[in-house]
Amino acid sequence: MLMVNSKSGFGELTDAEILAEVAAGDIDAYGKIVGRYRGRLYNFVFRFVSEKETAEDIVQETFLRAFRKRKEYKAIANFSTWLFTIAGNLAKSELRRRKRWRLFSLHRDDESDTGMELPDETYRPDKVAESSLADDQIHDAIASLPENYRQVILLRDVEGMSYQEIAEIVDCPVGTVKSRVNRARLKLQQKLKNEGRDVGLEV
Amino acid sequence: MTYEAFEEKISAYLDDELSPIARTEMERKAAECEDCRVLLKDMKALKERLTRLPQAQPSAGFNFELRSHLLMAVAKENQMSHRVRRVFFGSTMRTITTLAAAVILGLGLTNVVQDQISSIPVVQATAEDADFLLTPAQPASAIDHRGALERLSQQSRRLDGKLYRNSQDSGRVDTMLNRQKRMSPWLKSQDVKQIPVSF
Repeated sequence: MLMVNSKSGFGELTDAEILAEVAAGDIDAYGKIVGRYRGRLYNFVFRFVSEKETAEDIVQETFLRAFRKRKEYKAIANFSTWLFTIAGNLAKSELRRRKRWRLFSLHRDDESDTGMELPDETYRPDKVAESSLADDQIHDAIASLPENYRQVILLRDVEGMSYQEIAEIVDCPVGTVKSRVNRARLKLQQKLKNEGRDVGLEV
Repeated sequence: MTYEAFEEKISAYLDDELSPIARTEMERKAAECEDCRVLLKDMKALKERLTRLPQAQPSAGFNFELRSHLLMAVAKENQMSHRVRRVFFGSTMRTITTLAAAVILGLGLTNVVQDQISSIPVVQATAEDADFLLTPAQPASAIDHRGALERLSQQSRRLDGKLYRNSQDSGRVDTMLNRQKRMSPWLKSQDVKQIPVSF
């Protein structure tokens, strides 16, 4: 039977120690896990899908799925990697869903005048107001990368993960990940250079 | 080293994953190739810039919303486990279990009765028994259990009938004796001999 009680003073418990509490049915212990990974996960997913609401939904779903599997925590070697794997897969599914919807919309648009109108991604005043232009331009350049490159460059250069961790998340050999990261960096650098934007790349 | 080879190893160089020899070779190439030098400078800047990207944060209501989802998940799980318990131990299941138990008990009792019937010893019919048996005496092996039981019950009925008739007769004798006793003074006075009682 699960219980809901308040508990404070976790100190510097490891993920495994907190997860043992969660597995015993303490939801508030899970709050510590949420606090620990919420920011990083959201940042990763937001930069992956480029939509705040969708990113929030995906992160919520990630934490929810991880919570539902709390009986299997002992079998999970690296909890943080596992969380990023769930989030990454959900984000990819969302991108594929969007792509299908876009194709469907374009098809409908061709057939009749009543087709859905695609949002203009090039002009987003909300984003301009929220952050500096340079950050935004880099964000857009990352968002324009192919899915596989985008995921690894975010995990490596934005989240600062090791190649080994990324290999676990994307379920690929380390060599493949290294190669992908290199290509992603080259593409991104090329993109920013071609667009002639001064995004503060000068060291 | 070609420009393409330089490009391929540039991330390994930036991530400090090259051997000292390969590292030196990269630096030598950058020194002699203008494009390689520019690429190295841009890539270094990009890598550094990416680490400085501000961290996006979820909205203020994120925690509250997540907590409600978690509580709902817990409630759903509890409801599911309750439903499972109800299915396995609910009233319908209880009735089925009781019926099953009754059937099993019934079958068990039938087996016990059959075992007891089969364990009734078969007695060799004798000349004395012949009187009460419907059929002439037969070897024990030829007498089946059901027939033996039937015969025993008939024998019992016959004995009952006999006893009943005896009791009736004895009652009749009693009545006659009493009447004789009542009449004896008169008979004596009339000098009449007692009537013998016989069937």
